[in-house]
Amino acid sequence: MESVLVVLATLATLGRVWLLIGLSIVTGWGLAFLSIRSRAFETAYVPLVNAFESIPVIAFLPIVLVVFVTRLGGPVGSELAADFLVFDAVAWNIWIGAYQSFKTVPEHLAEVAENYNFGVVRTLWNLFIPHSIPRITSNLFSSFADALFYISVSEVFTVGLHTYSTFGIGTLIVQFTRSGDTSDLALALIAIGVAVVLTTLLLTRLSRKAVARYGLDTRGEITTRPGPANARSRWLRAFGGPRRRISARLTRTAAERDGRVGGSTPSRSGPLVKWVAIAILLGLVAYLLYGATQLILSVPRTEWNSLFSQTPFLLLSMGADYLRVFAVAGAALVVSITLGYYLATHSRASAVVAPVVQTVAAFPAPTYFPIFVGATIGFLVTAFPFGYVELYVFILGFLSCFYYVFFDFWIGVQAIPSEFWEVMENHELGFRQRMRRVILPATFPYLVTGLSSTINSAWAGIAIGEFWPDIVGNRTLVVKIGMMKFIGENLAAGNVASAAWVSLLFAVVVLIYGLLFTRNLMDLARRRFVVEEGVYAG
Amino acid sequence: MPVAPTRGPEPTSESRDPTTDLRNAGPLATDSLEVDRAAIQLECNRLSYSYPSIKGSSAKPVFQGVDVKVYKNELVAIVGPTGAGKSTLLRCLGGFIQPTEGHVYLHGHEVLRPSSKIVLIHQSIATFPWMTALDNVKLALTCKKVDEAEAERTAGEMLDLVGLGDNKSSYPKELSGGMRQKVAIARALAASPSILLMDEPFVHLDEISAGELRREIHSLVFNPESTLDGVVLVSHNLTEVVELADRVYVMSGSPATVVDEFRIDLPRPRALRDSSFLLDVDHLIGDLSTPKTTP
Ligand SMILES: Nc1ncnc2c1ncn2[C@@H]1O[C@H](COP(=O)(O)OP(=O)(O)OP(=O)(O)O)[C@@H](O)[C@H]1O
Ligand SMILES: [Mg+2]
Repeated sequence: MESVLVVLATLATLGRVWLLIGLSIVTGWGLAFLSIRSRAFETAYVPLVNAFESIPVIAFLPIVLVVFVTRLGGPVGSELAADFLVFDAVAWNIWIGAYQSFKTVPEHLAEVAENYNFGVVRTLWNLFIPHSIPRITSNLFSSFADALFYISVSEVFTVGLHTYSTFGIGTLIVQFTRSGDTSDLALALIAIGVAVVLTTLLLTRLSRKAVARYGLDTRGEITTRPGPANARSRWLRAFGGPRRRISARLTRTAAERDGRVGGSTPSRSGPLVKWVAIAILLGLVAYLLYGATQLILSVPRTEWNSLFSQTPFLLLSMGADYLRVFAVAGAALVVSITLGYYLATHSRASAVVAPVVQTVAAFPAPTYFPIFVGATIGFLVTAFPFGYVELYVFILGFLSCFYYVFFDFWIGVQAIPSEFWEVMENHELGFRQRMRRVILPATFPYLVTGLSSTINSAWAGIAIGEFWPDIVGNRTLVVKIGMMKFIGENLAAGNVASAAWVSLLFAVVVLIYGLLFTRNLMDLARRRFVVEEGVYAG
Repeated sequence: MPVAPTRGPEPTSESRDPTTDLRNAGPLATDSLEVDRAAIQLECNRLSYSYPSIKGSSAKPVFQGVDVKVYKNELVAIVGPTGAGKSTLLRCLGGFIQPTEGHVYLHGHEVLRPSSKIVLIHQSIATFPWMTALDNVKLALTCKKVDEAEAERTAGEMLDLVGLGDNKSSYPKELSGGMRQKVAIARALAASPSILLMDEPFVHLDEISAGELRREIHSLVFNPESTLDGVVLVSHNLTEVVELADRVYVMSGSPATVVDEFRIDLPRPRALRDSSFLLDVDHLIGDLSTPKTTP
């Protein structure tokens, strides 16, 4: 038993995650401040962050390998690669939170800061940062869960014959799984479980403290009325957080529309901040261009030709993955809605089921998935000789994203005013009528705001599941066709260029998809389905 | 009896409003039906309710031993200080929550769950923002198994009845608060209930719209075509209560009990400045301002 090693590795992983969360918060403040002070910066920053949030972390892996592992190399390279992936998992969410809370600083407070001629530092320190703390704290939980999800792929990965790893519990889990060391594996999983539970408790407490102390953030609050049954469930109260996050997204445009947003008028920004913003923007663009040209130049012409010739096949593979993602997200949606509705109308069941869902969901699925596969594969191979791989991919995808869908729907259901429930009861609406006429429209904005994290997490599970070498013994889990399989196989074969090319294609598709589709849905949700407007009071 | 103007609006405040008396005597008010005191419609006996106790504190009843009867064509009002449990009582009467003790009977059958026979109109106006006025009203007909065209026609008629014939395809956010409450009333009437429960239905409306709606409501609910047998109205506004009610229950204390039952025998339409009207208002004020003996 390697208990000391397991504890140290868990601490190392936690330390890494928390440091990077800290880094995201600090950079988030800086960037948010720049974007409320400079229109130009904001116009570029906000859509970019939103789009990047919807690119699955895994898609960055090849790029990471090119930059950190092959260029830098050594233990530092591996560590930085892991750090980059964790950062990518946590940052976007936090950055969006920081931006939104800076955007919604009440105007009277912003005016006070102006009145007394606070400088940049004092304004940030006394006004914007305290104001953002409740919202950022509430975003920490999902950031933490996201970061943990990837530990088994970010801390250790294999390119060609070479395995790069850095110290952490993710690396240990992979080692134990490969060597079939079940007792140590169990120990490692327990360690993660303890870490998850403790972190959840800590964050819950922190979140409550933050709201109590800095909570002038009333605009983002949804006035929750007692729901039909379990509005007072302990579980939900512990999660005041994400509700704020979601409602903040919904109310954002309302605040913007009113023009009552603190500090957003460009005339207020000092010239220095403005130039800094533009410099950063230009720097970023220049760096991206430089990186891209470097990369392009480093790839020989013949390689390019082969990449181009592969492209149609790659797009087809991407299509296959999109089908998987939609299947998984759709299934998660159906289950969430049914379960969520049941829990909302049965308070006793919800007191038990809800915390279980919460804990299971925060536990990173890839860490225990090999055990599940080991236990079921014998049966499934005989039962579904052709479909068992797809089934596993589906299950892993479902486990990865179910939590997000469920959670968003659940919060939406809780926000349905009790009056609406009473009207439904009064007019004896059946299950289907309730769903179609009231519950789905009322929860629509919540499902839409959760869409990018849902899709993202579905991608994450599918990406890991499509190509998993030696998952049990010498058995490799691999699908027939799939983009993520392609990336995985090419990385395993040391063919980084091909993998990077797919990632690039994928990023472009996601960006287009995000700009065209997600945004319009969001607007629709805001325009028509905001349930809080339904109950008129004064 | 001393007059305590702190409870509810002063009796005279309404009569200062010039529009009130001018439109008071509408032709509508005359076709209301007579109260039939031989026929009990809704009844509850010795009703008590306690909210489930939150950990640590013991469950204390909100109200205790409450008897309420509603006769045919009668508008019964329930008044009481805030927190007395009026809304809770209304939810018991509608079957939304089950009383801890006692039973509720509609036409002799026990009320065990909400149904469209007893429809509740909320204090906060509950219209669905994603449906037009017409669709909001049609919702009440979904359980009636009528076909689409029939539902459309009935819903339209109900909106005509409440005076929203021109706003059938408007969304709630395009309507004023008073119009939205009328949509909610049309929806309630479309369900053709026996009993209408109204929880401070006018409290979020401005004084003018509230006054108009008040004057219309009695003839709206008690006309020969209506299926309604009775109405229970909860209100803080004592002038409103005396204007509308045939009988008043006064709830007070902790846990609350019915401390007074009081008949209002003024002819309709009622003139808000008549001395007999003001006398009844004073009676209610007196009921509510008697010092409570809390141990
Ligand atoms: N969901 C609930 N859980 C626990 N207690 C409640 C709940 N709803 C109401 N109460 C308590 O029950 C009592 C009665 O509430 P209720 O809303 O029925 O009063 P009310 O007479 O309608 O007051 P108001 O005139 O202000 O509307 C109050 O003391 C309130 O604190
Ligand atoms: Mg009330």
